Amino acid sequence: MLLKTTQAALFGAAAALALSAANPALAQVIDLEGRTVTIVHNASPGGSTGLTAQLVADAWTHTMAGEPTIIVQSVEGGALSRGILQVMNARPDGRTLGWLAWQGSTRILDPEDRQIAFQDFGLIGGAGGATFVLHASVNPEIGLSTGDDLPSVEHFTFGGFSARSAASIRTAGVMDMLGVDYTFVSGFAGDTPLEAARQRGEIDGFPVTGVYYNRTLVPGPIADGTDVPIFYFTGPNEDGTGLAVDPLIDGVEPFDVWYTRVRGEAPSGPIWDMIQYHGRVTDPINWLVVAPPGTPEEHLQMLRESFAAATQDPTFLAEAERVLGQVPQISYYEDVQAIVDEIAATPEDMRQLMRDYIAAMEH
Amino acid sequence: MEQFFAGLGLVLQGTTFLYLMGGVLLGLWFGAIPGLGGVTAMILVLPFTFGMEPAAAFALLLGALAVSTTSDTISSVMLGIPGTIASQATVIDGHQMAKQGRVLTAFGAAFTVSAIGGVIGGLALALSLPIMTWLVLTFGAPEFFVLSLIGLVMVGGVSGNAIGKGICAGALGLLISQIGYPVASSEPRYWFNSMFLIDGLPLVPVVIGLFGIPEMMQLATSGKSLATRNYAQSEGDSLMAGVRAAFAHRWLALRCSVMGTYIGMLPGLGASVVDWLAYGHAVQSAKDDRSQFGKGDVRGVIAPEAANNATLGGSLIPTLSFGIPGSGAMAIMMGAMTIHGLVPGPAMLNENLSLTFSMVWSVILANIVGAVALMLWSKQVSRAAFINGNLVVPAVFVFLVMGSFIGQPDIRTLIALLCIGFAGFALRAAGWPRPPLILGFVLGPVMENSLAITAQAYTWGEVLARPTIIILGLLLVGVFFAASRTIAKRRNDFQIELSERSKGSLTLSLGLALGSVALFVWAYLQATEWSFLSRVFPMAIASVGALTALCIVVADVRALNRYVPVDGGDTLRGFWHRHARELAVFAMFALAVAMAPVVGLAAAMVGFTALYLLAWGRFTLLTALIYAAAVGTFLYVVYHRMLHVPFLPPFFLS
Repeated sequence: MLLKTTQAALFGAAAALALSAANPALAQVIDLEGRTVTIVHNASPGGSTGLTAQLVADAWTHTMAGEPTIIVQSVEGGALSRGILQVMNARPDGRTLGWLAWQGSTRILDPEDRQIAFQDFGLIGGAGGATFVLHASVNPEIGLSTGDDLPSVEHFTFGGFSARSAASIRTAGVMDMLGVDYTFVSGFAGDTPLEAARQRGEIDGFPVTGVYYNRTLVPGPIADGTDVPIFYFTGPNEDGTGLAVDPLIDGVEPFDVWYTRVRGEAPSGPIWDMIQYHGRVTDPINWLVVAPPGTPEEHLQMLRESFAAATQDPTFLAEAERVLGQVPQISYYEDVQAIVDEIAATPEDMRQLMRDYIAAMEH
Repeated sequence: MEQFFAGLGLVLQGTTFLYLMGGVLLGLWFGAIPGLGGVTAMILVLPFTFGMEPAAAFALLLGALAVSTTSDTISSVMLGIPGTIASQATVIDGHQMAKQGRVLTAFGAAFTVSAIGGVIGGLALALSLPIMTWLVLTFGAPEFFVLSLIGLVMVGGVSGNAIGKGICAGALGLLISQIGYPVASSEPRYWFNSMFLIDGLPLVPVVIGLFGIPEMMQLATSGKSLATRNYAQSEGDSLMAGVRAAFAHRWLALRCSVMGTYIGMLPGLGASVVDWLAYGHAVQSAKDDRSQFGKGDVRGVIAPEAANNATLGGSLIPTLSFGIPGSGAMAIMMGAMTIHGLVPGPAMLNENLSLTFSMVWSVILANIVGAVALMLWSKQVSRAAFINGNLVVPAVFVFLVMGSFIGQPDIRTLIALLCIGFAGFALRAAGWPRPPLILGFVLGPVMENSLAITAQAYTWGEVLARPTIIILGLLLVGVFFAASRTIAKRRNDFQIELSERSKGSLTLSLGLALGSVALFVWAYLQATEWSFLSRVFPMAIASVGALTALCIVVADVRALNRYVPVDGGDTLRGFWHRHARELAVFAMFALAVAMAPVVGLAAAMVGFTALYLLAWGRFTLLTALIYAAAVGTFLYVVYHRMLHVPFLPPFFLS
């Protein structure tokens, strides 16, 4: 009897072991002590994506269970998809995480075979929300001396990396709301080439990230009067209405406040809905922090908690302030999940409106 | 001037100088290994610079970067494989010099002009500081397009006496560069619904595959050492002979250094194309006998090596003045500047001027120290040219595979490496010059980007009214007519590909030309459905390519009809027999790659090494085991522990 019981217990234990090996989602927190965890990011090395990931990695190594060594690796290319797919296809063994520039709100416009199911990832958090400031050269020839002159300009040429950028789509939408004829010039690989193009006169202006605006434009061309800010795009107010005031962007208004002032009426209609949509789902998160699909739930929970602890650590905050000039906006699991869900459920008329803009901006 | 020497003081102070030397050592090592290079070295040390003083951090980074374009000469000369993107053109004559047992002469000339080029680039950076913002703002998209066109005209200079085939190969390179997302559209082109191709083919497998795989196939079948002479026969070869040659051609070195500096300033062009431009210039400006170009002319080493070391100083100009990183290396520099709270622009010329000058000094000192160190080591390195080629092949193949894989860790990267390698073999066997293909591949994206921006942002009138466009247009016309005159007078009597003309090579060339016609026609038809800016460039390439390929078809058919066999072995069967063993080696390479997903990449490489040495090289079991163990250790220490390459696991662990 004893033998039978022992045999049954052994068999049961073996079966449980086999089951847990076959289905990692049933396992406990993965032991990472003495291990190396690789955070894969999908941008080029040395840029803000890699730098921010490295800063978080340095803090996270102290809060993650087992205190593993964390390294940051760039897997760029494939229109950001190479790094995303590398994490998607990685083993859910806790040793690969993703720090992914995702562009979720415009990726849903891709054909079915190019879609990426972000909701399948084990979501941990997000980072790097951005404010985009539209600014333009002071150019009396086109009738633009202050930001308020934009509605009376006949033609406005603005630049961007591609027509699929949410900031570019919104800027094109604003031009239509104002009745300003526009040309979009694509092919610039970042804020600095765009700024050089503006100074060369190839474009009149462009929507720039808040960080670049504060660090480079405010003390440079805006201070010397050759460039003026117009308005900025940002996330919604806490009650979900309008666009929030960004306290870091001094002396410039959010788009809806600016529009109401210069046009005498509040913005409305489908384009304004699209601007608010991007404020909700695009601006709060630049980088998704994820684990590969199939990562055990307990392990994910540990990652979410340790990520939150790492990004609230005073040492991290001080280092981020020193290196990046400002602490990146950090989002936590519930908020990130809500954004991923809203993007997945984007109504067809909103998708079509964005497709129409992309088609109009591409030549 | 006070700030200039304050910058020198910053570099020479205690730990900063040590960091500079550390960077130089790392850069020398990484530059010598095909596929690694200075950018990888910078990525490796970047996290360590977070807590350093700014001058020390930039000394470490610039030290690693500056000398990688000096030590990359070793691979180009010894193996015929570009050590980095910047030393592609050095392969043409440098490798021929190695085969003739003139390794030290090539090294002496290359290292001397590398130091000169690096110093000139650094000084040009220092002199350009007051006007660098003006320089950057002067060159807009139209200027970039015309400059790229000037670069493309250099196809004539790197095609030798096969100008038609050179143009066709250049068009093939341009067409391959069109794979993936275009500048002004969100619909990828020629991508066959493969995510691997959605962003285009990666540069490294194309460059090292096109030259490296065919070279290793040839070396494996020759059964000899790299140098066809033995060590004793090449006693006339010396470093000083190279140094003397460098000084004898000092004006060429100087012109190419200046060219390197100013091409380096142009984001997107820089080191990847300047060596070809310098090589083309060396050919076109040669007043005497050109017949030795492609056969080991030292001027073919001096020109690109002087130019590629000068690009770093040039590329720092837009980075420091405007924050425009024109290359991957400069993007990392920008990251390091951000970490240390430095904002590109006027601040680098005012409050941070001594730091800016410390960067200038770092570049200058690193180039001098790097060149001297390589001079001291080159005698030992050069002896590798006289060892059994079968001992070289497995290690180099592993470097080629890992050098491609590190940028894009995907089995399809290795498949691309093999496909490009096979294409390189076929082109060489058919007598088609390979350098124009690389030139087209590198210039394609720059040309299309600048064309698209010009078309979107300018009218014809605005473009033609720009003074810089008028100057560059005149330069383009001048270069074009000089090249045309050279061709018309048949002065391009040198060969880039030293393949023998035979019935087999002509037949293969005909096959390639027919295949190219079909490819260009297909590419043209594919493009008709795309938006204007997506289709205009590939359609132009396909039109020129198809016409040139048709001309080659006609010329090859005529040549075959008039062809008189040299001897009884000059038949298709004889051609096949001459190349069958090379194809067998290629099959081994392909098998090693095919085994990677089965047994894992590391095991496949170690296993290939052991089996190659035993089965093909006929070495003893002990030799094979020791060699394979060394390869395995190197993979583990360098690629796994240091560079964190995600090796493909064996299927049972996937």
